[in-house]
Amino acid sequence: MNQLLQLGQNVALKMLNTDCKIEKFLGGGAQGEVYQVTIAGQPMALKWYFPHYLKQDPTLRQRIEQTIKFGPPSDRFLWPLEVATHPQANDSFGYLMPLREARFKGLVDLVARRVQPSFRTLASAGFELAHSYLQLHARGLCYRDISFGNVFFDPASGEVRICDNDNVDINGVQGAIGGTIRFMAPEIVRGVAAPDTETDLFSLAVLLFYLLCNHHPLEGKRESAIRCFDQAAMTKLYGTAPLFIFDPKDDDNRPVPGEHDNALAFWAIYPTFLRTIFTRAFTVGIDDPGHGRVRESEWRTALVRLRDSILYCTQCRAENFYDAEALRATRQPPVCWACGQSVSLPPRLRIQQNGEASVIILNHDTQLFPHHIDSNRPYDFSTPVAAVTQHPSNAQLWGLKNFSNIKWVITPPAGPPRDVPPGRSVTLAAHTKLHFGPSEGEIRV
Amino acid sequence: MNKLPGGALASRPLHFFWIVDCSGSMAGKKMQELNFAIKESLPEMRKVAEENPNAQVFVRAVTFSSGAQWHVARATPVAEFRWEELKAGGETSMGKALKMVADQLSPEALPGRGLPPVLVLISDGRPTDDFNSGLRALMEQPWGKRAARIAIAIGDDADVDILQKFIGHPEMTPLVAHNAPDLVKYIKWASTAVLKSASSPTSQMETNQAGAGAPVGITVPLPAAPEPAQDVEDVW
Amino acid sequence: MSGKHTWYTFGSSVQGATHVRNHIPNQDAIEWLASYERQQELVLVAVADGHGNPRYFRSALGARFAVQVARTLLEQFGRHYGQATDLTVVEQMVEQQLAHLLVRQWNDTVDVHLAAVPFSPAELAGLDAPFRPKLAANPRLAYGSTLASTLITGTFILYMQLGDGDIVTVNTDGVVSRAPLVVDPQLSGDVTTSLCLPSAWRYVRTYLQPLVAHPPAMIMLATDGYSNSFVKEDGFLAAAQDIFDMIEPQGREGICTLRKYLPRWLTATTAQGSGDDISVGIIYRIVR
Repeated sequence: MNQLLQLGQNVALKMLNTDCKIEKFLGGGAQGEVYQVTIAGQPMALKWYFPHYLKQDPTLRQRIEQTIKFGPPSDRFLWPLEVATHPQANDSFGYLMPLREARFKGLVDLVARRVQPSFRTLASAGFELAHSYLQLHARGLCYRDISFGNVFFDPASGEVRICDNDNVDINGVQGAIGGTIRFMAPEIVRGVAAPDTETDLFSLAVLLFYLLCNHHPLEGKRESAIRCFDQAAMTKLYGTAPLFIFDPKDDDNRPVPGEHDNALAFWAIYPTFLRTIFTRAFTVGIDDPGHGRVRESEWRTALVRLRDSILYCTQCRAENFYDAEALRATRQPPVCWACGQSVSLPPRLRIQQNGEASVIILNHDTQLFPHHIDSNRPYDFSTPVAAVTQHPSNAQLWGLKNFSNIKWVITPPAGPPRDVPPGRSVTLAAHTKLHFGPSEGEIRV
Repeated sequence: MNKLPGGALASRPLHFFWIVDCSGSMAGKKMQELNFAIKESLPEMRKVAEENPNAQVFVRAVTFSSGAQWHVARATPVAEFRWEELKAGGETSMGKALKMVADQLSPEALPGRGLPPVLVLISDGRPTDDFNSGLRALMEQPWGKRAARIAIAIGDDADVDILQKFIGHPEMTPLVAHNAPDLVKYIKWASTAVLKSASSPTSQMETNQAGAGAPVGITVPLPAAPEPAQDVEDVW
Repeated sequence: MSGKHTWYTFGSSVQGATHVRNHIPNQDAIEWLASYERQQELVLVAVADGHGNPRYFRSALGARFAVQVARTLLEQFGRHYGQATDLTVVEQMVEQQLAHLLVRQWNDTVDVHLAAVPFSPAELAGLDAPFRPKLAANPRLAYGSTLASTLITGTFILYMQLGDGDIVTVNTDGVVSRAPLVVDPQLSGDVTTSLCLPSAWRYVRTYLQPLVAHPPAMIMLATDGYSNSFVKEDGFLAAAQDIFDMIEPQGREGICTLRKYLPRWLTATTAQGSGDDISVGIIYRIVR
């Protein structure tokens, strides 16, 4: 039941020089309420603030108007478009924004297990989040209130939407809002710093951990010990004595079975390189706020690599991950987390670029994109440059098809180099070398 | 103050389905025994329903031979339910029968306030059509998944593995009837004991909730993974 | 808001008609409180529905613990934060601590009871074989229950729910709608989430709403035995409307009438409807 605006009421939109009618109550919280409206036949969303909230945040209107002028960094942001007012309610105001489509679910839904996406989706969503925040920061802005109430994703594709962009401001400007304490950088919780892009990076790390491990990185045994409402205990947990639940040097805050099961289950499944970067984010990243935080570009690389590492168990088809470090250490084939059987590795492509190697698993549905072949190209997942494909008449035969517009040159294991023009495919045979131009790859089996 | 607040009240609907094999191998003695067993069970079924006035039992029946059809299509209140004798002849389209039942268990067909349905599958042989897709259609319906699923095998030629798959719980196995008294006994059990427990309003947690710690990476039905091949063309 | 209106609350919990026939006790529980001590408004209702399946043989106790813990916790929360002007902080406490504390305190209560009264052979005898190892691994399963609750203070309304059951609001114009809690698709038919599940805190749904211009005139909380008694969903929502329409013209007299008739209405409803236990709590706002 909404309280602020009545359904059927009209609010005025100054710039668009039109009114819109309040049609449906969508949700809300302590700040305000969100309604559905229609503008020129298009359904949109209208947020309206509680008057008492405006008193706590006196620069809000100005900030919203500034944000409207900046425009969204990308289409992933549900950005304020226009201020809304009402003659009988001039103690408050609202703003118009695009409506979040029903296909997007929140991190809240993920935590409550109302949605159960694949690892591929989670990796894609994580990538999009890091990518989106990078674009925001690159424009000199900072988000300041990253939390899982603001983040939504499509469980089918991993496409994200970032909402509640009311707190966005130019980096460095002082503001009233610190953010949601669990996502706040510890130095803000302690009261010794103000929100900026560096503190955003901590919040992003927490968000990504939540997305991938379905749990908060600082909530383990020490969180279980809290038995009553205790602001001081929260300040300690998130500010003065934050301890990563998988801190390699201190196990005092390990997840408790029965309460924190997801953290334990998911952490074990992910490959070493991902655990390493998360560990860094919540050890060095806590101790060295100025220089120790993982940057968005590093997250992007890690999440793309995570997606490229997905392989399917040959017995039960569950998604598992290729973990090069673990394989080198144990010299054993990987074991599926779901069915416990050994997983035989599918063919993979090892690409060398500028002295760095990356491995891409070649599943039946694998696609390669521009950045795989040329690290100078920006990330673009709309147009594959290559895809794994099945021979049209021989179902046992798999290959990699050239979807780019330049020819590849391949060197088969036994034989002279051959051309692979656009539209043709190369058989996935062990030790076949592929020359893509800026990079070189080899098929491993 | 005599009128109760709110709209019309009613007891909770409980839908009971007989799913009966009428293939050629059932013809003659077996079909007659089954007809008899079901008719025998009706008075007690009605009695159970009377003793549980807050469950409103509706009965339907679908048969399968070469194809499947409704023997009783209308969800009939148990007090009015009559069993017209079945005749046998033809194949064993069990998958199709399950699909037809699945269609009747959609959220549009069955309201949310209903009690979980009871499905009793009776067969003496093996399915000759696509059983798996029929079962999948059934299990894709939330009401199909939550239904109490019972299976009765007539004789030793019945495919108990298929029937076990239908049941879907390791805790219960198909009841195998080798003679007429056994069949009568099992039919009675399915229509009374099961009905009785289904009639009580109980809430419970979905079994996989109890293990709600494991991540749920989606299991992907796949074609065979790409395998390396020798002695084939390099580029095509 | 206080000084302009008074909240009244009343509830009733009746044994289901089927339970009466089968000699099973009422497995629902209810608690309510309306306090105006020290000028601080604190109104709350909590209803709980213990799982009826024979596997959950101490669920009547589990439901009792659920409403007791909810009452204590919400009362504490209300006294601590009921006068807060910065509701974003309160919202954070709701999102971050409330669910964890609810489940933890319920777990503690169950554990203390179980230690004092271990499962008897008679209680265990009736259990099906596949369930025994599950119970051995998680003894709290026997106490499984849902919970639906609402807290009202001088500055906010807090809705908190785990599992099935309904919370419905009526505005001053008599229009009924569901409380703005997330709809959980996992709840349908007879299946529900529960306090006894591992990491049960994940399934707790909450909503904090500041009290401003148009607060609800009435809030009704009910266990699912009530909504399951009506042929259609509209019929159930109409129940809230009818109760509101009955009280509204009479004011405080209406609350007295409610106290007199609610238990018999519920008893008649279960007999003619679901047969399940029914618990209903009403919170009604009278403008002074």
